[in-house]
Amino acid sequence: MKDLAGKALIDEITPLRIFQKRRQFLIQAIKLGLISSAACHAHTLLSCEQRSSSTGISSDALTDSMTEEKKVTHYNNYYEFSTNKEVVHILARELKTSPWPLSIGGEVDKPLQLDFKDLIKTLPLETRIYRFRCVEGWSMVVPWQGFPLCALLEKVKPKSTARFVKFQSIYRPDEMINQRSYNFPWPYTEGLRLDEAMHPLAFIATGMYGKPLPKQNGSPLRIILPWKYGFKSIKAVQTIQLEQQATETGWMQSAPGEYGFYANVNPEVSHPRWSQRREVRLGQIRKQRTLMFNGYADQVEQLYAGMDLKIHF
Amino acid sequence: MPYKILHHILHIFSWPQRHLKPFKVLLFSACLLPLLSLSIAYFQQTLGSNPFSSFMQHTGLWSLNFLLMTLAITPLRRWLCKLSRHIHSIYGKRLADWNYLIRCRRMLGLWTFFYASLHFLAYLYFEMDFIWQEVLFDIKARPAIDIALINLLILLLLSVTSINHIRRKMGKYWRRLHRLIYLSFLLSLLHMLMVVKATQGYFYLYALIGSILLLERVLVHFGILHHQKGDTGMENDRS
Repeated sequence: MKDLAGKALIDEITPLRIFQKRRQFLIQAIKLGLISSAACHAHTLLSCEQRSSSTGISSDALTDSMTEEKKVTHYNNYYEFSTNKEVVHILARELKTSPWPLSIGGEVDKPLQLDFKDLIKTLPLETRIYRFRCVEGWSMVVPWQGFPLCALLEKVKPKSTARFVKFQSIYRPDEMINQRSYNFPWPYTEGLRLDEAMHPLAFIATGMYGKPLPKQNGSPLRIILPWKYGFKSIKAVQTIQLEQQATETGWMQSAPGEYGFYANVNPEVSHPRWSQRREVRLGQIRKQRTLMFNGYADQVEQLYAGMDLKIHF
Repeated sequence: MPYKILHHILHIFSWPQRHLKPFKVLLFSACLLPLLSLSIAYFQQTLGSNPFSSFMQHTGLWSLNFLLMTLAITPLRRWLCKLSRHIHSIYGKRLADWNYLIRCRRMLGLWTFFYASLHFLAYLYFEMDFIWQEVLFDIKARPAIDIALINLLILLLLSVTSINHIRRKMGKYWRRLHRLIYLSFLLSLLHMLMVVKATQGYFYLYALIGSILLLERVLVHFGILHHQKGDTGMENDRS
């Protein structure tokens, strides 16, 4: 009896590592979440560093519990490898992520060409806990490590003529097996308006759960746009171009009636084949309501003021 | 004897004809297995990264599996009979020798309805949380749901009219009504195409097996494949 009772008690104690992680998370959330509401309207006046430090995460992420790491690493929409989400983590082992030459250019004063290894040395890493909502109706809450996208864009000094940003991944059918057979305008291409890209929530992730980004999750670096559907958050980025015109993204070319340029999370605008009102968190069996802009409306809705979101979906 | 092995296999296959009761008990238990494995996975939380999607896929695919098995009965009986004649087997040359297949068909059909209902209930509870406004919105937004509802109605109608008493009262109309099973199969495939990623292989496998089962009927009907006199797919066939 005694043994049984003793064992049960030990099992119920939260391991130290998780306990510390939780504390870290709480402290960060309170620090960042409380400031963010006050600083929201002053974004345009602040520099990138100041802006990003004020909008780490939204405070309501506190009520969301983080998704178990194994679920996030074993359920991946990564069409370069497979359309079957549960096998991507195996197929992605073939990808060689080092060296990883990066180029940031276009309408900029200081174009940049360097290896990923050298880039991360120059930028301080921070953690952001974001909700992530896939257009297919599943979602997760992930602690990403990385830096704000605007920090990188300010490095290259965009010209006044730059209005859009184009992101491109890689075309390596030798390593990415589904690029050989799946009909898609490879390499994967995504785009943003420059003001969206400069928004403090827009993030470049180089790690998650305190570890380097796994290959199946977009190693070595990917974009994270928590208020947009997951397919906008392009993985394994290799080139970033600032442009005068909006780019036609891969999904716009592949299925123009289904995927638009903005792809903001919007429960009121249905996909032609399904509703976007509900979503299921990985690891859970019951769906929950999807929030406008995935719950980041306070931070991002001013970007789309006056736009008809049914047309600009 | 070149067909010696075939003779043995046919003999094993005809075992249920002589022992229908125990065979039906066995079959019933086998039909419970997908439910059992699903329950175990549900309670042990081994449904994978997306338990919702796994649950829906499991119930949906098993409903379709049972529908295909139901559709396979008539051709299977026909071909077992043909095979027995071809190899001059002692037993099994008459369609009536394989009547036990027909006697099990209703059970398979009812299991189709059971797994389809479970699929539907999971949708209402897990996906819609029994919020009726959400269901209405979903019906408007997803053609796949309309198709599924029509399909469920068909399966309900077929299940209710499978009760012996009602069946006898319906006379010749029973067979005509139950031809709706072909429509049900086509609607199931369409529903699957719309909810599952079209790129995933399952769909083509089911479409292929289903087309073979339907095509066989068409060819037999038009006399392209040999048609046995009196073969109506019913128990009292004489041949």
